[in-house]
Amino acid sequence: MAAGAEPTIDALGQFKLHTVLGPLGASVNFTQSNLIMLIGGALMILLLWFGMKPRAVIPGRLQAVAELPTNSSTT
Amino acid sequence: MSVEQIGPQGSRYFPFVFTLFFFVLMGNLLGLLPYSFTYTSHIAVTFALALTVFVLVTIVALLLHGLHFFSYFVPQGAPKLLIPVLVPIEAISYLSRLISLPVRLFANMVAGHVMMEVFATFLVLMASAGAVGIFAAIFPQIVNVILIGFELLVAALQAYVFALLTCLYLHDAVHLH
Repeated sequence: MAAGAEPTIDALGQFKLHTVLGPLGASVNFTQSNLIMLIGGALMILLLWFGMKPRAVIPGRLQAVAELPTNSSTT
Repeated sequence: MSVEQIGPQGSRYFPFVFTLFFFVLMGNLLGLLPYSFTYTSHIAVTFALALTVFVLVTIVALLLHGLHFFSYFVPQGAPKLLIPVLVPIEAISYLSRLISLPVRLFANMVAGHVMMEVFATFLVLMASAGAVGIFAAIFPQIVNVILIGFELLVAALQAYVFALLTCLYLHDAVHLH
């Protein structure tokens, strides 16, 4: 960004895609965008998995978070 | 939300809306982390999501109502004379969802991230401008702190809006009017 001799405002460079995971990722064009998609999906599955695990009638903190979307849509 | 908006049959569409909401929410929120990437800031991603919604809504409407679905383009109680004018307008407004839904999300995410990048650049430029600049650089930093909080709001809000509009479109598909 400002590392060059002539610092300029490069606001759109952050949206550039580049491949991750080395040559393996490059060969299938696996970009950082796809990586974040997978991380996001995994986080959601983990939240629901561990949030639903206690099955308490009075939910704990994590369970309350995991149950929030289903509660608000069925009541 | 899906039951509220779509009606009693709404629970059938709940898994779809749920997945969509959390995919968008995760994209928006994870994008705020440093070294992360906002995939919802690419129109290719949001357009693909909106295309899925659009095709699904149209298929649901066609399955539930058959060819009667096309009466959707004729508003209730419209004079017979106006129908040739109204049908193209309604059809265009139906098709424009395909543009408005992805562009809304994409533009919000891009605008927020560009703003933060611009102020972060100000910060670096000012800080490298000498002794006065180092103190002046605190102002873009304050702006960026406010922007981060604002972006958190926008991230959650846009995910909610995306899911809510999907519900509204599904409501239209299920009830037609």
